[in-house]
Amino acid sequence: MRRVLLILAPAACAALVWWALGQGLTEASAAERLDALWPGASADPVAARLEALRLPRIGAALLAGAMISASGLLLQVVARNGLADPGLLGVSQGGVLAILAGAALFDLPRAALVPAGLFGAMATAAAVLLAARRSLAGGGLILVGIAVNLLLGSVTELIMTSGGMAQYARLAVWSRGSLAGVSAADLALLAAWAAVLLPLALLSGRWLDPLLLGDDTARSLGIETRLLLPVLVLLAAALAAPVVAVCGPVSFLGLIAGHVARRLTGGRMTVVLPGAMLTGSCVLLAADTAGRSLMPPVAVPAGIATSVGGFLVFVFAARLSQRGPAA
Amino acid sequence: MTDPARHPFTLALLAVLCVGLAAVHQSFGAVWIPPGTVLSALAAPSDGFLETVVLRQRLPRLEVAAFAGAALAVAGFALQKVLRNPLVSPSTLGISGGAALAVVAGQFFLALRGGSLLLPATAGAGTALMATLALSRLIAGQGDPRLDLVLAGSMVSMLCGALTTFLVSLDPQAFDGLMRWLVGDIGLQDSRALPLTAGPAAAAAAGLLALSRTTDLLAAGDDTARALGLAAGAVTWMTVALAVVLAVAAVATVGPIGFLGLVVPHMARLLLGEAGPAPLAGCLLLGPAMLILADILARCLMAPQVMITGTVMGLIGGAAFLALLLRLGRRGLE
Amino acid sequence: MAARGCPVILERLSFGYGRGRLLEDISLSVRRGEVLALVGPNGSGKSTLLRLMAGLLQPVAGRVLICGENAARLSRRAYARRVALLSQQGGAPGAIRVRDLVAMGRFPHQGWLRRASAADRAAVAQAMEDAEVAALAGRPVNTLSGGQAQRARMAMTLAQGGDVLLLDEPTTYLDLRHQFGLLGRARRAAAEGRAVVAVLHDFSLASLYADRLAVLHEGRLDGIGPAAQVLDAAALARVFGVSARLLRDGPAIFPVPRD
Repeated sequence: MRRVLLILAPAACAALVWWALGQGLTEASAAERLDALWPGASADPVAARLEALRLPRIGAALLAGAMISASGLLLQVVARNGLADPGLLGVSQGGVLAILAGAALFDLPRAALVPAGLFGAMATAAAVLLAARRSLAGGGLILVGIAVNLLLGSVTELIMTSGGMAQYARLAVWSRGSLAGVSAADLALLAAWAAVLLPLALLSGRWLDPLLLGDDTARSLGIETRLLLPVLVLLAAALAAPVVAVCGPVSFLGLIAGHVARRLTGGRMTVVLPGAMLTGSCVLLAADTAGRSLMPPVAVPAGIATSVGGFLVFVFAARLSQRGPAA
Repeated sequence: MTDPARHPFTLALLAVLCVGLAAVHQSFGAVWIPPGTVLSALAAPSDGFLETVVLRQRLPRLEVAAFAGAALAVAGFALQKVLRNPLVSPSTLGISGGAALAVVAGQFFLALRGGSLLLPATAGAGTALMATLALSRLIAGQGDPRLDLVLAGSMVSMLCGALTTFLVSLDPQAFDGLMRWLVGDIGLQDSRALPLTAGPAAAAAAGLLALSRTTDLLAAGDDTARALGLAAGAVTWMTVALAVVLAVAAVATVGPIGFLGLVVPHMARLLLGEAGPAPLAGCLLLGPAMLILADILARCLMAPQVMITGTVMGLIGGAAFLALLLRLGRRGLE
Repeated sequence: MAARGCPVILERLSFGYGRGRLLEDISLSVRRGEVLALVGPNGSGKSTLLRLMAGLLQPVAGRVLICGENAARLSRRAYARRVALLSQQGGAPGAIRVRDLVAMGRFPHQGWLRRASAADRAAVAQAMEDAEVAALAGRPVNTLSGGQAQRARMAMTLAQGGDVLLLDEPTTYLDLRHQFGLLGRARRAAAEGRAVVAVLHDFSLASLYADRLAVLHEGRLDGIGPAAQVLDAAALARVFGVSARLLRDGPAIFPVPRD
């Protein structure tokens, strides 16, 4: 089953891209879609539209899904706790708060919001890591994360509720994550971070399995956990921060992608990690595309569609792996 | 451990704390109202300005805070006890989230208002709880079983929260009053809800108090409880159902307020031990005290502007929690 | 005391948190080819001593020498190549297969880009054979019984190789057959030239399988030597506070309560 999945998942991903490219107000023929996918600017007006509007969104969904999932899985391993996700480190809440405060309180221009979110996310993660440094492997990270989240969440709520209901609703939707406003520049930012961090995450895969055996065993297998754990936390934060900055916290995905991949591929982290990335990419792209195309004219934002879709995928994976031992 | 002989004393102290906070709650605010005036307003209602402030504004807030605080704390305690899991609470199990979603859906699709929302709220809370339990069974066997429940609960909560946000975003104007409810605003409570919810909630709390000795046996484990002749399943389900009633009553009145239902039970257990009705009674007093305190702060911190009590609860809770963790960390206790 | 013959040497070792001392002034050495059993009442410091030998704790005084080198100067990886530990701490590796778990024992022998060498694969296969888990190779660890999981962890520790094998209560969860099997395997590891240290609770097993016993009492070394020398009624009374007599059958010693 593992091997089948490793072939099926990329295929599913490719099929999703094809589908996503065709969905929307503009009808697109197969030739136009191919033209849009082809490197270089397209001469055909429809293909050019696809290339300018849909491709960045699709690319961002794939990258953001992979990054947020890898981030979640790394944190789950570090905290040895299936509940860990980037939201927990305060990464999401910190980024959201920085962007919200930047927009609502300081009137920052839109271009400055993404860097502000990046800064807020990384700063919060660093603070949480520092506060929990003594008990990284235990529940410390999770507890400090919960506390910081609660605190930042309340401040976010204060800002969100300071306007009327319309503003609250708009911000509430955004604060769950959306890919609607993604531009080519946003995609470039995501891609730059992903190009460095995703390979690093994949390289780290081989250290993850021994970590799950407990601190003593990991160390007696030759892993300097005191060095590795903070490095992994920083890596996870860096993976999540640009995603939060560009499309808001894609809540839920970081939590479930690792679980789904583990269910489907079985144990080894060197397999689970790429599996989680693929799962994240597929779920986010599918959710975003379904959200914007299934019930026109209502567009369901990616964050919300991901929550629903991710939940269903999770339940499906759990059922699948329960029926027989992962073979 | 705590000494049972001192429990009456501790409870009396908590009661005094509660009354004291209530007095402060009535007197402090945008305007200072001397306790004497408060009392006279309560004793002989008149339509002076200060009396009106007390009767129309502060007293309802106090009632609601005390009611919701007690209900959430007791519900959290009962759930933690029968599920033998220190991490569960109405909010972490998805109960609050389910109730909130049902209320929003009821308003949106069925145009329900006021007390008639109680029914869908209960249904939503029950459904969410069932979903959490079913999901936790599905994901069991991955490690610590206590985390299965919390993981499932957080998934259900997130799902409900996402759907709630989505419904609200469809027509923000229609939900104008709802925003403050969704973040736990005591000032905006539907005055018709409290009389409706108070009865069932009081009955549920009384039921839980009566069951407290029996549920002690459950703490020894289902098998032991069965060996002692207890229908463990029935008691568990009854307790959970009563807790849901309490949680729904609280959510319907003031909206989903997190943190309280999770933490107050821990405080009560620290003060009054694990067993018997004492810690439950402690929750009945500590829960209101916490929420009243949060409401005092909500009205005084940025006076004359009134903050949202649920938000303030989150601020206090987060800050206190963080301070506690950092202190524990410094002492090297992990 | 030639360092070459003694992969583990403890010199006046003390350990504690803050002011308190959990271990005080312990000196001993473990030779190649011998099995040393650490025995003592609960809380006497056996596991702490083992974790010091494994380099998981830093002594507050004295030092640990591993194969003649000061343990404090060894990198984690260098340490792991010399010393393997079967910890009591059971992590939750989830759905990982037994084969993959055992293969993790080769971790310190592999470079950045993990490629299992032929030597790695041979060591893993041999370790699974030795710990009697070869038949379970494809099973996810979380579907195993307690005893099976313990044997799988033992196989991982065996696969790690090195000069020193540390076992923390290795017979936990095991039935009698597998207790004998595991300790027999530990003896063979010693015969192959390793130094083996095991925390054991059972005196009969300790006297049967260990060359020497180190008896710990309130953080101090009460005695060290062959079972016949260090185990007597007086020592049991002093260390465990029990009144017992000892039945002997060949090398085995069984304490029974005196009535």
